[in-house]
Amino acid sequence: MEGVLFTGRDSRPRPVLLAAGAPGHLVVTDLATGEATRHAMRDLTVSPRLGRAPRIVVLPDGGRIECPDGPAFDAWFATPSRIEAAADWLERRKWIALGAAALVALGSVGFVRYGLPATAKALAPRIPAAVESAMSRQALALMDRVELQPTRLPAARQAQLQAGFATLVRDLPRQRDMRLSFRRAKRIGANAFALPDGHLVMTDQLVALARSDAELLAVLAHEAGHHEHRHALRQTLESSGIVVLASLLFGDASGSSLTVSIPVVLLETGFSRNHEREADAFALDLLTRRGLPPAAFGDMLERLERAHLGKAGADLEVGYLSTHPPTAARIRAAREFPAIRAPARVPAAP
Amino acid sequence: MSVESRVEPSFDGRAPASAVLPETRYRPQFHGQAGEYFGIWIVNVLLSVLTLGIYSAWAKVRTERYFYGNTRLAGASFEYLAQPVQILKGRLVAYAVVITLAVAAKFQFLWVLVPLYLLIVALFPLVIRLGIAFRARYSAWRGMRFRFDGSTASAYGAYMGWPIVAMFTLNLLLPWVQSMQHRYLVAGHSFGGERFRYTGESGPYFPAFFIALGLGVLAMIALFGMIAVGAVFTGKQQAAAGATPGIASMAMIYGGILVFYAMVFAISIYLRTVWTNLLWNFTRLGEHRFESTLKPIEMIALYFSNGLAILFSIGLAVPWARVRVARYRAEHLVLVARGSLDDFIGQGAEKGSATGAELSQALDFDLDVAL
Repeated sequence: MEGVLFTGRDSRPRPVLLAAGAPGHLVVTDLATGEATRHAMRDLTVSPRLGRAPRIVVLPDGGRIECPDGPAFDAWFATPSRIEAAADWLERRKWIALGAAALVALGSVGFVRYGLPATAKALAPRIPAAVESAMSRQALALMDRVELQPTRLPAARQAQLQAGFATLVRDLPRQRDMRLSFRRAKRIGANAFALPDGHLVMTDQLVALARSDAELLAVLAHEAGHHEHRHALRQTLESSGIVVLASLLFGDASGSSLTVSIPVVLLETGFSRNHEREADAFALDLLTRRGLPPAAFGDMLERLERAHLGKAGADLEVGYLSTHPPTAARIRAAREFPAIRAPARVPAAP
Repeated sequence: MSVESRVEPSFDGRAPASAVLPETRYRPQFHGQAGEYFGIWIVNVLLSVLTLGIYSAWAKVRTERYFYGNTRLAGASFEYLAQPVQILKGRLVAYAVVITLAVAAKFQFLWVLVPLYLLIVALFPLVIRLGIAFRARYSAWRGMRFRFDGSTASAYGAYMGWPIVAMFTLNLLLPWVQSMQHRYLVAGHSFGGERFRYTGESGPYFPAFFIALGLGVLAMIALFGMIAVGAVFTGKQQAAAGATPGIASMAMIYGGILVFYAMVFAISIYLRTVWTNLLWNFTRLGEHRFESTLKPIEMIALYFSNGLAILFSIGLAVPWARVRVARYRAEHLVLVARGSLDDFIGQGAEKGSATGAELSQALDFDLDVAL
């Protein structure tokens, strides 16, 4: 077998011939000088096999012989690394490559669609309440600094809504955590959100936009649904899971981070939409049980959509628009929701 | 024998008149193939997932070895010599830091987040220096390793001090910073007893930077133009019918954002390509020099088509994309050798105190920070 010897002392290539000599020995013959050197095979190491990349035989004196890959290496030398030999065996099989591609694709889709949401759902109740309240305090403090102002609702109006809210969430499994606050939000406009610890915040603008208290309670029922289902924590866990998966899949590629971040964003909005659907279903069920018209939720969504789209062009920074997308389908679902439901459909607590 | 070809030894013992030595142009050749690399890549992904990331160290080494080994220059291929365990150590450290950061950021644990973040920022140039040195030490050609001995102080200058100075000039001095970083990178390397030299000045880095800035302004104008048009349409429709706005006007707004991001991506590739060419063209190794002729427009087309292919194949096109980039880069680099490439001298074992050796052995892992 032919190769090129580099002594490590200089950069001159020396064409050599490799041949098996006495058992367990390799004879390296310099093709220019005819000088032959004998080495015991066990003193030599060879680089692991990898595609059609050249193999390197390392001599005891640090010299390196570069040769094209060939079957002789397996006959002459012990496997340099068991792990890499196994990897090489796998890498050379077409059906393994195809199977692995299918497995990785199916596995990722399955993990994203079922595995990750299920894991997040199972994990969320085990996260200590202190974490939830720390997250909420920080988030609200930040919002209060940059986006929110103190409410200007009259105390009587606030008390009225608080009473309605208390009746609405009475007997819910996580009712103990829930409380309602009001804030004025000049930039965000009409909106409501649930913090992870069960603190619901409603803007003055939303109160002004609603035509009836039933509509406001419908929104609160939706936000209560987020809390009952622990969506804030689940979203956090799910997006962390996605980042881990994406870096596992593409980390080896180490190419542009754009190719990683686009799927991550797409998948995260997918989770968010699923959570909205879950909260919608919860709200409609709860409203029905409290004797409130589920259609009020649809009316409120329609009003919100009008209010936000009117200024969508002018103010694209309304990020909440994308997490609470009031769509025609959601409005229709609320309006067509049967007013009387079988008790078996009472929403299950997580 | 003509008079000119008789080379008189000069006072420092070197061959004096370099004009006498013949120039030979060596183009690197990349022999990797997408199909073959796909098998390696998919097994890497599969085993990395199955081993919860442990195998990714072996994956990294096999990937590097594949690209090094399939790149031949002047009759010899490159060798990547790092061992998977070294990579694994570095990855574990990096994972620990990243996970701590992510958890602290998510849950707003500021007493962890702030000190850790400051520590990372403070150590950033050192980490870069160690990373460059690691890669140099474990890269070899013709049986000899590269070396990097740029100083830590200079690393702090190039990657922290000068960038901060440039910030005070609204980053208008960024091309100068880039040139300083290239100087640090090139001049710190050596091969076979010969030190790489950086012969550039910051001047040539500026024109491309200002072109990129101009294009960036154009991209901003395009973005705001499309949003404004979309917003006007939305407003008109609302005023006219009181109905929900049409898809067209929303498409205008989101299309504007998409075009903007595409332009920013293209501009950054343009700038990186021009600066990479400058880096190579200013590099000397002894009497040898390099010519890099990457074409910005071709690089942009290459990266865009790669990105689309990766996106639409849910990542399965990554091997094909990487092989394309490696081949294109190899085809556009030339080593212009003046005289022989056979005369580099091996440096033998590293010198240094025992403590130094032990410490560097303990720290001898790659944090794998992408630059």
